[in-house]
Amino acid sequence: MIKIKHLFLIIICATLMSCNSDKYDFPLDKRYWDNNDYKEAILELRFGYEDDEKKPTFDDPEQRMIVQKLTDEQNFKVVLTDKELGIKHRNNVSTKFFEHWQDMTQIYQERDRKDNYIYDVEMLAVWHFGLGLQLDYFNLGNEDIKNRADDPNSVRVKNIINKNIGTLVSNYIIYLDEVNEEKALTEEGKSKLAEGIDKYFTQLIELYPEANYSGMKNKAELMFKKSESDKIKSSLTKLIELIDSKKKVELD
Amino acid sequence: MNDYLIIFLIFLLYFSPVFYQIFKLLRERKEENKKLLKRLLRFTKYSLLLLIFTSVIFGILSHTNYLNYEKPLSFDKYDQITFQNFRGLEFFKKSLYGNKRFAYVVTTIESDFEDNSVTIESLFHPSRSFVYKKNTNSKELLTHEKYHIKITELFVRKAKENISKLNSFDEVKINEIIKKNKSAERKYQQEYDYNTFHSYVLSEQKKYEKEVDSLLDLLSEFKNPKITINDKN
Repeated sequence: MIKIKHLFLIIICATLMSCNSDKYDFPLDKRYWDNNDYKEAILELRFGYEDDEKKPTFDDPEQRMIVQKLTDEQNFKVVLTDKELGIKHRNNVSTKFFEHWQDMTQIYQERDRKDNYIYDVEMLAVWHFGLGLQLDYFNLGNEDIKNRADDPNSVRVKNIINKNIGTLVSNYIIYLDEVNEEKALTEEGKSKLAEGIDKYFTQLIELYPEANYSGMKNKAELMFKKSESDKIKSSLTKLIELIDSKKKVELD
Repeated sequence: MNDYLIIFLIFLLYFSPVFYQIFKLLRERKEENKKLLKRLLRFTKYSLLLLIFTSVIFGILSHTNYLNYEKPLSFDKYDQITFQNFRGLEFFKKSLYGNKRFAYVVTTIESDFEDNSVTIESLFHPSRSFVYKKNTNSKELLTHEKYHIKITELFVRKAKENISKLNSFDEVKINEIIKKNKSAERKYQQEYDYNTFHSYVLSEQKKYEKEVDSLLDLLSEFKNPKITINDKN
Protein backbone atom coordinates (compact mmCIF):
# COMPACT_ATOMS: atom_id res chain seq x y z
CA MET A 1 0.00 0.00 0.00
CA ILE A 2 2.69 2.46 1.02
CA LYS A 3 4.69 1.38 -1.99
CA ILE A 4 1.86 2.24 -4.39
CA LYS A 5 1.40 5.63 -2.75
CA HIS A 6 5.10 6.33 -3.11
CA LEU A 7 5.07 5.15 -6.69
CA PHE A 8 2.30 7.63 -7.51
CA LEU A 9 4.17 10.40 -5.79
CA ILE A 10 7.36 9.61 -7.73
CA ILE A 11 5.49 9.57 -11.06
CA ILE A 12 3.88 12.95 -10.34
CA CYS A 13 7.19 14.49 -9.20
CA ALA A 14 9.03 13.12 -12.23
CA THR A 15 6.38 14.49 -14.55
CA LEU A 16 6.52 17.90 -12.92
CA MET A 17 10.31 17.97 -13.03
CA SER A 18 10.47 16.96 -16.67
CA CYS A 19 8.06 19.70 -17.64
CA ASN A 20 9.41 22.52 -19.68
CA SER A 21 8.16 25.73 -18.15
CA ASP A 22 9.10 27.90 -21.15
CA LYS A 23 6.05 29.72 -22.33
CA TYR A 24 7.52 30.66 -25.67
CA ASP A 25 8.99 28.34 -28.19
CA PHE A 26 11.79 29.89 -30.24
CA PRO A 27 14.15 27.61 -32.19
CA LEU A 28 17.21 28.78 -30.28
CA ASP A 29 19.27 25.66 -30.96
CA LYS A 30 18.91 26.17 -34.70
CA ARG A 31 22.13 27.53 -36.16
CA TYR A 32 20.51 29.85 -38.71
CA TRP A 33 16.98 31.18 -38.70
CA ASP A 34 15.30 31.17 -42.10
CA ASN A 35 12.32 33.20 -43.26
CA ASN A 36 9.84 30.78 -41.69
CA ASP A 37 11.55 31.06 -38.33
CA TYR A 38 11.42 34.84 -38.59
CA LYS A 39 7.74 34.73 -39.46
CA GLU A 40 6.96 32.65 -36.38
CA ALA A 41 9.29 34.56 -34.05
CA ILE A 42 7.99 37.98 -35.12
CA LEU A 43 4.39 36.86 -34.66
CA GLU A 44 5.23 35.57 -31.19
CA LEU A 45 7.14 38.70 -30.19
CA ARG A 46 4.57 41.12 -31.60
CA PHE A 47 1.35 39.46 -30.52
CA GLY A 48 2.25 36.63 -28.12
CA TYR A 49 3.26 38.86 -25.23
CA GLU A 50 0.78 40.51 -22.94
CA ASP A 51 0.75 44.31 -22.79
CA ASP A 52 2.75 44.68 -19.59
CA GLU A 53 4.89 41.60 -20.10
CA LYS A 54 8.64 42.11 -20.49
CA LYS A 55 9.98 41.22 -23.91
CA PRO A 56 13.41 39.59 -24.40
CA THR A 57 16.24 42.04 -23.83
CA PHE A 58 20.02 41.88 -24.06
CA ASP A 59 20.39 42.36 -20.30
CA ASP A 60 18.09 39.48 -19.42
CA PRO A 61 20.29 36.38 -19.07
CA GLU A 62 17.36 34.01 -19.56
CA GLN A 63 15.87 35.58 -22.67
CA ARG A 64 18.94 37.28 -24.15
CA MET A 65 19.38 34.46 -26.66
CA ILE A 66 16.06 35.29 -28.33
CA VAL A 67 16.92 38.87 -29.22
CA GLN A 68 20.50 37.90 -30.08
CA LYS A 69 19.21 35.30 -32.52
CA LEU A 70 16.59 37.68 -33.90
CA THR A 71 19.17 40.34 -34.71
CA ASP A 72 21.95 38.02 -35.85
CA GLU A 73 22.98 39.16 -39.33
CA GLN A 74 24.46 35.75 -40.10
CA ASN A 75 20.89 34.52 -40.55
CA PHE A 76 20.54 36.40 -43.83
CA LYS A 77 24.22 36.67 -44.76
CA VAL A 78 24.62 32.89 -44.92
CA VAL A 79 22.18 32.84 -47.84
CA LEU A 80 22.53 36.26 -49.45
CA THR A 81 26.32 36.14 -49.72
CA ASP A 82 26.52 32.49 -50.78
CA LYS A 83 27.70 32.69 -54.39
CA GLU A 84 26.89 29.02 -54.99
CA LEU A 85 23.22 29.99 -54.83
CA GLY A 86 21.52 31.66 -57.77
CA ILE A 87 20.91 35.42 -57.78
CA LYS A 88 17.15 35.00 -58.32
CA HIS A 89 16.89 32.67 -55.34
CA ARG A 90 18.97 34.97 -53.14
CA ASN A 91 16.96 37.96 -54.33
CA ASN A 92 13.70 36.23 -53.42
CA VAL A 93 15.04 35.28 -49.99
CA SER A 94 16.29 38.82 -49.38
CA THR A 95 12.90 40.28 -50.35
CA LYS A 96 11.21 38.08 -47.76
CA PHE A 97 13.82 39.01 -45.14
CA PHE A 98 13.23 42.69 -45.92
CA GLU A 99 9.47 42.25 -45.45
CA HIS A 100 10.06 40.47 -42.15
CA TRP A 101 12.42 43.20 -41.02
CA GLN A 102 9.69 45.80 -41.62
CA ASP A 103 7.49 43.80 -39.24
CA MET A 104 10.38 43.38 -36.82
CA THR A 105 10.64 47.14 -36.36
CA GLN A 106 7.27 47.06 -34.56
CA ILE A 107 8.49 44.73 -31.80
CA TYR A 108 10.49 47.12 -29.64
CA GLN A 109 8.77 50.47 -30.33
CA GLU A 110 7.08 50.81 -26.93
CA ARG A 111 7.60 53.94 -24.85
CA ASP A 112 6.87 54.76 -21.22
CA ARG A 113 4.80 57.66 -19.89
CA LYS A 114 7.78 59.99 -20.17
CA ASP A 115 8.09 59.11 -23.89
CA ASN A 116 11.31 57.18 -23.29
CA TYR A 117 11.87 54.01 -25.25
CA ILE A 118 11.47 50.95 -23.02
CA TYR A 119 13.66 48.79 -25.25
CA ASP A 120 15.97 51.32 -26.91
CA VAL A 121 19.00 49.03 -27.29
CA GLU A 122 16.90 46.23 -28.75
CA MET A 123 15.03 48.64 -31.04
CA LEU A 124 18.38 49.91 -32.37
CA ALA A 125 19.70 46.37 -32.78
CA VAL A 126 16.70 45.66 -35.00
CA TRP A 127 17.52 48.84 -36.92
CA HIS A 128 21.11 47.66 -37.40
CA PHE A 129 19.88 44.30 -38.66
CA GLY A 130 17.83 46.17 -41.25
CA LEU A 131 20.67 48.49 -42.27
CA GLY A 132 22.95 45.52 -42.86
CA LEU A 133 20.23 43.61 -44.66
CA GLN A 134 19.44 46.47 -47.02
CA LEU A 135 23.02 46.59 -48.27
CA ASP A 136 22.66 43.00 -49.52
CA TYR A 137 19.01 43.35 -50.50
CA PHE A 138 19.54 46.33 -52.80
CA ASN A 139 22.79 44.92 -54.16
CA LEU A 140 21.12 41.62 -55.14
CA GLY A 141 18.13 43.45 -56.62
CA ASN A 142 20.47 45.52 -58.80
CA GLU A 143 22.47 42.45 -59.83
CA ASP A 144 19.25 40.73 -60.84
CA ILE A 145 18.20 43.75 -62.91
CA LYS A 146 21.58 43.73 -64.69
CA ASN A 147 21.34 40.00 -65.37
CA ARG A 148 17.89 40.27 -66.84
CA ALA A 149 18.63 43.34 -69.02
CA ASP A 150 19.48 42.93 -72.71
CA ASP A 151 22.08 45.63 -72.29
CA PRO A 152 23.22 46.01 -68.67
CA ASN A 153 25.13 49.17 -69.60
CA SER A 154 22.16 50.94 -71.15
CA VAL A 155 21.07 54.33 -69.79
CA ARG A 156 17.70 52.89 -68.80
CA VAL A 157 19.25 50.15 -66.64
CA LYS A 158 21.71 52.59 -65.10
CA ASN A 159 18.86 54.95 -64.22
CA ILE A 160 16.90 52.16 -62.53
CA ILE A 161 19.95 51.11 -60.53
CA ASN A 162 20.77 54.70 -59.53
CA LYS A 163 17.16 55.16 -58.45
CA ASN A 164 17.42 52.04 -56.29
CA ILE A 165 20.63 53.30 -54.69
CA GLY A 166 18.86 56.62 -54.06
CA THR A 167 16.07 54.73 -52.26
CA LEU A 168 18.68 52.88 -50.19
CA VAL A 169 20.34 56.17 -49.20
CA SER A 170 16.91 57.61 -48.28
CA ASN A 171 16.20 54.57 -46.13
CA TYR A 172 19.49 55.12 -44.33
CA ILE A 173 18.60 58.78 -43.73
CA ILE A 174 15.50 57.60 -41.82
CA TYR A 175 17.88 56.06 -39.26
CA LEU A 176 19.32 59.53 -38.61
CA ASP A 177 15.81 60.61 -37.55
CA GLU A 178 16.46 58.68 -34.35
CA VAL A 179 18.86 61.48 -33.36
CA ASN A 180 15.72 63.62 -32.99
CA GLU A 181 14.65 61.09 -30.37
CA GLU A 182 17.92 60.94 -28.48
CA LYS A 183 16.25 62.20 -25.30
CA ALA A 184 14.18 59.04 -25.34
CA LEU A 185 17.35 56.92 -25.31
CA THR A 186 19.51 55.75 -22.44
CA GLU A 187 23.28 56.39 -22.55
CA GLU A 188 23.70 52.83 -23.81
CA GLY A 189 21.12 53.54 -26.49
CA LYS A 190 22.96 56.68 -27.59
CA SER A 191 26.18 54.69 -27.91
CA LYS A 192 24.35 52.07 -29.93
CA LEU A 193 22.89 54.73 -32.21
CA ALA A 194 26.37 56.17 -32.78
CA GLU A 195 27.78 52.69 -33.46
CA GLY A 196 25.17 52.22 -36.17
CA ILE A 197 26.27 55.41 -37.93
CA ASP A 198 29.93 54.42 -37.69
CA LYS A 199 29.48 50.90 -38.95
CA TYR A 200 26.66 50.81 -41.49
CA PHE A 201 26.92 54.31 -43.02
CA THR A 202 30.63 53.70 -43.65
CA GLN A 203 29.79 50.40 -45.35
CA LEU A 204 27.14 52.09 -47.50
CA ILE A 205 29.44 54.89 -48.65
CA GLU A 206 32.30 52.48 -49.35
CA LEU A 207 29.96 50.28 -51.39
CA TYR A 208 28.46 53.14 -53.41
CA PRO A 209 31.05 55.96 -53.27
CA GLU A 210 29.59 57.69 -56.30
CA ALA A 211 26.01 57.95 -55.03
CA ASN A 212 24.45 61.29 -54.18
CA TYR A 213 24.88 61.88 -50.45
CA SER A 214 23.95 65.57 -50.37
CA GLY A 215 20.64 64.84 -48.60
CA MET A 216 22.40 62.65 -46.09
CA LYS A 217 25.07 65.25 -45.44
CA ASN A 218 22.45 67.95 -44.96
CA LYS A 219 20.56 65.74 -42.50
CA ALA A 220 23.76 64.85 -40.64
CA GLU A 221 24.65 68.55 -40.27
CA LEU A 222 21.21 69.39 -38.91
CA MET A 223 21.32 66.48 -36.51
CA PHE A 224 24.81 67.53 -35.39
CA LYS A 225 23.43 70.93 -34.38
CA LYS A 226 20.54 69.32 -32.55
CA SER A 227 22.33 66.52 -30.75
CA GLU A 228 23.62 66.91 -27.21
CA SER A 229 25.44 63.59 -27.12
CA ASP A 230 29.21 63.70 -27.68
CA LYS A 231 29.21 60.17 -29.06
CA ILE A 232 26.50 60.88 -31.60
CA LYS A 233 28.13 64.20 -32.57
CA SER A 234 31.45 62.47 -33.09
CA SER A 235 29.84 59.83 -35.34
CA LEU A 236 28.02 62.50 -37.35
CA THR A 237 31.28 64.45 -37.80
CA LYS A 238 32.98 61.31 -39.10
CA LEU A 239 30.08 60.70 -41.47
CA ILE A 240 30.21 64.25 -42.87
CA GLU A 241 33.97 63.97 -43.32
CA LEU A 242 33.60 60.63 -45.11
CA ILE A 243 31.01 62.06 -47.51
CA ASP A 244 33.28 65.07 -48.17
CA SER A 245 36.29 62.84 -48.78
CA LYS A 246 34.39 60.84 -51.42
CA LYS A 247 33.23 64.06 -53.06
CA LYS A 248 36.83 65.26 -53.19
CA VAL A 249 37.98 62.06 -54.90
CA GLU A 250 35.17 62.47 -57.41
CA LEU A 251 36.23 66.10 -58.17
CA ASP A 252 39.90 65.13 -58.47
CA MET B 1 2.19 24.98 -18.35
CA ASN B 2 3.46 22.14 -20.48
CA ASP B 3 0.84 20.44 -22.64
CA TYR B 4 1.84 16.97 -21.45
CA LEU B 5 1.50 17.99 -17.82
CA ILE B 6 -2.01 19.29 -18.48
CA ILE B 7 -2.94 16.02 -20.20
CA PHE B 8 -1.44 14.04 -17.33
CA LEU B 9 -3.28 16.05 -14.70
CA ILE B 10 -6.58 15.78 -16.60
CA PHE B 11 -6.00 12.03 -16.84
CA LEU B 12 -5.39 11.80 -13.09
CA LEU B 13 -8.42 13.95 -12.33
CA TYR B 14 -10.67 12.10 -14.73
CA PHE B 15 -9.75 8.70 -13.36
CA SER B 16 -9.57 9.86 -9.76
CA PRO B 17 -12.84 7.97 -8.81
CA VAL B 18 -11.30 4.78 -10.25
CA PHE B 19 -8.07 5.34 -8.37
CA TYR B 20 -10.06 6.09 -5.24
CA GLN B 21 -12.01 2.83 -5.59
CA ILE B 22 -8.79 0.86 -6.09
CA PHE B 23 -7.35 2.60 -3.08
CA LYS B 24 -10.40 1.64 -0.98
CA LEU B 25 -10.30 -1.90 -2.29
CA LEU B 26 -6.69 -2.23 -1.29
CA ARG B 27 -7.44 -1.03 2.21
CA GLU B 28 -10.31 -3.41 2.84
CA ARG B 29 -8.66 -6.78 2.71
CA LYS B 30 -11.84 -8.87 2.79
CA GLU B 31 -12.10 -12.27 1.09
CA GLU B 32 -14.34 -11.08 -1.76
CA ASN B 33 -12.11 -8.07 -2.30
CA LYS B 34 -9.10 -10.32 -2.56
CA LYS B 35 -10.70 -12.07 -5.51
CA LEU B 36 -11.37 -8.78 -7.23
CA LEU B 37 -7.88 -7.62 -6.46
CA LYS B 38 -6.40 -10.76 -7.95
CA ARG B 39 -8.40 -10.25 -11.12
CA LEU B 40 -7.26 -6.67 -11.28
CA LEU B 41 -3.64 -7.69 -10.82
CA ARG B 42 -3.94 -10.36 -13.51
CA PHE B 43 -5.46 -7.81 -15.88
CA THR B 44 -2.68 -5.33 -15.07
CA LYS B 45 -0.05 -8.03 -15.64
CA TYR B 46 -1.39 -8.92 -19.11
CA SER B 47 -1.81 -5.25 -20.01
CA LEU B 48 1.80 -4.59 -19.01
CA LEU B 49 3.05 -7.60 -20.99
CA LEU B 50 1.12 -6.43 -24.04
CA LEU B 51 2.54 -2.93 -23.60
CA ILE B 52 6.10 -4.27 -23.31
CA PHE B 53 5.62 -6.52 -26.35
CA THR B 54 4.22 -3.62 -28.44
CA SER B 55 7.04 -1.34 -27.28
CA VAL B 56 9.67 -3.90 -28.26
CA ILE B 57 8.13 -4.31 -31.74
CA PHE B 58 7.91 -0.54 -32.02
CA GLY B 59 11.55 -0.14 -30.98
CA ILE B 60 12.79 -2.82 -33.39
CA LEU B 61 10.94 -1.25 -36.32
CA SER B 62 12.20 2.21 -35.36
CA HIS B 63 15.75 0.89 -35.46
CA THR B 64 15.44 -1.24 -38.62
CA ASN B 65 12.40 -1.49 -40.81
CA TYR B 66 12.09 -5.25 -41.23
CA LEU B 67 8.69 -4.74 -42.88
CA ASN B 68 10.49 -3.27 -45.89
CA TYR B 69 13.96 -4.69 -45.50
CA GLU B 70 16.91 -4.21 -47.82
CA LYS B 71 20.29 -5.58 -46.86
CA PRO B 72 23.20 -3.14 -46.27
CA LEU B 73 24.87 -1.88 -49.45
CA SER B 74 28.62 -1.63 -49.90
CA PHE B 75 30.33 1.40 -51.45
CA ASP B 76 30.57 -0.12 -54.96
CA LYS B 77 26.76 0.34 -55.21
CA TYR B 78 27.10 4.06 -54.41
CA ASP B 79 25.95 5.28 -57.83
CA GLN B 80 22.76 3.21 -57.65
CA ILE B 81 21.59 4.75 -54.35
CA THR B 82 18.51 6.96 -54.57
CA PHE B 83 15.86 7.95 -52.04
CA GLN B 84 14.01 4.76 -53.02
CA ASN B 85 16.63 2.95 -50.94
CA PHE B 86 15.78 4.96 -47.82
CA ARG B 87 13.37 2.49 -46.27
CA GLY B 88 13.58 3.31 -42.56
CA LEU B 89 10.58 4.29 -40.46
CA GLU B 90 10.48 7.34 -38.22
CA PHE B 91 7.77 7.32 -35.57
CA PHE B 92 8.84 10.23 -33.41
CA LYS B 93 10.95 12.85 -35.14
CA LYS B 94 8.61 14.72 -37.41
CA SER B 95 10.90 17.62 -38.31
CA LEU B 96 14.48 18.77 -38.18
CA TYR B 97 14.66 22.31 -36.78
CA GLY B 98 11.09 22.86 -37.92
CA ASN B 99 11.80 21.53 -41.43
CA LYS B 100 9.59 18.59 -42.32
CA ARG B 101 11.60 17.84 -45.46
CA PHE B 102 14.48 16.01 -43.93
CA ALA B 103 16.36 12.77 -44.28
CA TYR B 104 19.10 10.90 -42.50
CA VAL B 105 21.44 8.16 -43.51
CA VAL B 106 22.90 5.35 -41.41
CA THR B 107 26.36 4.06 -42.31
CA THR B 108 28.73 1.76 -40.46
CA ILE B 109 32.30 0.54 -40.76
CA GLU B 110 32.49 -3.25 -40.64
CA SER B 111 35.61 -5.39 -40.39
CA ASP B 112 36.32 -9.10 -40.74
CA PHE B 113 39.63 -10.79 -39.94
CA GLU B 114 41.11 -13.75 -41.78
CA ASP B 115 44.56 -15.36 -41.60
CA ASN B 116 46.79 -12.46 -42.55
CA SER B 117 44.17 -10.20 -44.07
CA VAL B 118 41.37 -8.00 -42.94
CA THR B 119 38.30 -6.87 -44.85
CA ILE B 120 37.08 -3.41 -43.97
CA GLU B 121 33.96 -2.03 -45.61
CA SER B 122 31.72 0.97 -45.37
CA LEU B 123 28.08 -0.04 -45.41
CA PHE B 124 24.97 1.95 -46.08
CA HIS B 125 21.89 0.63 -44.25
CA PRO B 126 18.77 1.27 -46.36
CA SER B 127 16.28 0.01 -43.79
CA ARG B 128 17.73 2.23 -41.10
CA SER B 129 17.94 5.36 -43.28
CA PHE B 130 14.98 7.68 -43.52
CA VAL B 131 13.57 10.24 -45.93
CA TYR B 132 10.38 12.21 -45.35
CA LYS B 133 9.11 11.30 -48.84
CA LYS B 134 10.60 8.66 -51.11
CA ASN B 135 9.60 10.33 -54.37
CA THR B 136 11.08 13.69 -53.47
CA ASN B 137 13.01 15.35 -56.27
CA SER B 138 15.37 17.17 -53.95
CA LYS B 139 18.76 16.50 -55.54
CA GLU B 140 20.50 18.72 -53.01
CA LEU B 141 19.14 16.70 -50.09
CA LEU B 142 20.14 13.41 -51.76
CA THR B 143 23.64 14.72 -52.53
CA HIS B 144 24.05 15.85 -48.93
CA GLU B 145 22.98 12.47 -47.58
CA LYS B 146 25.08 10.51 -50.06
CA TYR B 147 28.18 12.43 -49.04
CA HIS B 148 27.72 10.96 -45.57
CA ILE B 149 28.26 7.58 -47.25
CA LYS B 150 31.34 8.91 -49.04
CA ILE B 151 32.74 10.23 -45.76
CA THR B 152 32.39 6.78 -44.18
CA GLU B 153 34.21 5.26 -47.17
CA LEU B 154 36.91 7.93 -46.84
CA PHE B 155 37.68 6.85 -43.27
CA VAL B 156 37.60 3.19 -44.27
CA ARG B 157 40.30 3.96 -46.85
CA LYS B 158 42.25 5.98 -44.29
CA ALA B 159 42.13 2.99 -41.94
CA LYS B 160 43.38 0.71 -44.71
CA GLU B 161 46.18 3.16 -45.50
CA ASN B 162 47.24 3.11 -41.83
CA ILE B 163 47.05 -0.68 -41.69
CA SER B 164 49.14 -1.04 -44.85
CA LYS B 165 52.01 0.69 -43.03
CA LEU B 166 52.15 -2.02 -40.33
CA ASN B 167 55.19 -4.29 -40.42
CA SER B 168 53.29 -7.36 -39.31
CA PHE B 169 49.74 -8.59 -39.00
CA ASP B 170 48.78 -7.50 -35.52
CA GLU B 171 45.06 -7.83 -34.80
CA VAL B 172 45.20 -5.61 -31.71
CA LYS B 173 46.88 -2.79 -33.59
CA ILE B 174 44.49 -3.16 -36.53
CA ASN B 175 41.51 -2.98 -34.18
CA GLU B 176 42.99 0.14 -32.63
CA ILE B 177 43.37 1.75 -36.06
CA ILE B 178 39.79 0.88 -36.98
CA LYS B 179 38.48 2.23 -33.67
CA LYS B 180 40.45 5.45 -34.10
CA ASN B 181 39.13 5.96 -37.62
CA LYS B 182 35.58 5.16 -36.56
CA SER B 183 35.67 7.90 -33.96
CA ALA B 184 37.34 10.33 -36.40
CA GLU B 185 34.62 9.53 -38.92
CA ARG B 186 31.84 10.31 -36.43
CA LYS B 187 33.49 13.62 -35.61
CA TYR B 188 33.89 14.51 -39.27
CA GLN B 189 30.26 13.61 -40.02
CA GLN B 190 29.11 15.90 -37.22
CA GLU B 191 31.31 18.73 -38.48
CA TYR B 192 29.97 18.20 -41.99
CA ASP B 193 26.38 18.53 -40.78
CA TYR B 194 27.21 21.49 -38.58
CA ASN B 195 29.17 23.47 -41.16
CA THR B 196 26.78 22.81 -44.03
CA PHE B 197 23.84 23.06 -41.63
CA HIS B 198 22.39 19.97 -43.32
CA SER B 199 23.11 21.42 -46.81
CA TYR B 200 21.43 24.79 -46.09
CA VAL B 201 24.80 26.53 -46.58
CA LEU B 202 25.45 25.54 -50.18
CA SER B 203 28.94 27.04 -50.45
CA GLU B 204 30.05 24.92 -47.47
CA GLN B 205 28.37 21.87 -48.98
CA LYS B 206 30.34 22.36 -52.22
CA LYS B 207 33.55 22.84 -50.24
CA TYR B 208 33.03 19.49 -48.49
CA GLU B 209 32.13 17.76 -51.75
CA LYS B 210 35.41 18.88 -53.32
CA GLU B 211 37.43 17.93 -50.26
CA VAL B 212 35.88 14.47 -49.84
CA ASP B 213 36.12 13.67 -53.57
CA SER B 214 39.76 14.67 -53.80
CA LEU B 215 40.67 12.71 -50.65
CA LEU B 216 38.86 9.65 -51.97
CA ASP B 217 40.81 9.97 -55.22
CA LEU B 218 44.05 10.24 -53.31
CA LEU B 219 43.26 7.02 -51.48
CA SER B 220 41.91 5.18 -54.52
CA GLU B 221 44.58 2.46 -54.15
CA PHE B 222 42.72 1.38 -50.99
CA LYS B 223 39.43 0.88 -52.82
CA ASN B 224 39.59 -2.90 -52.38
CA PRO B 225 37.89 -3.93 -49.10
CA LYS B 226 40.46 -6.63 -48.38
CA ILE B 227 43.94 -5.75 -47.24
CA THR B 228 46.64 -8.37 -46.78
CA ILE B 229 49.65 -7.85 -44.54
CA ASN B 230 52.76 -9.89 -45.14
CA ASP B 231 55.44 -9.85 -42.46
CA LYS B 232 58.10 -7.36 -43.48
CA ASN B 233 60.67 -8.60 -40.95
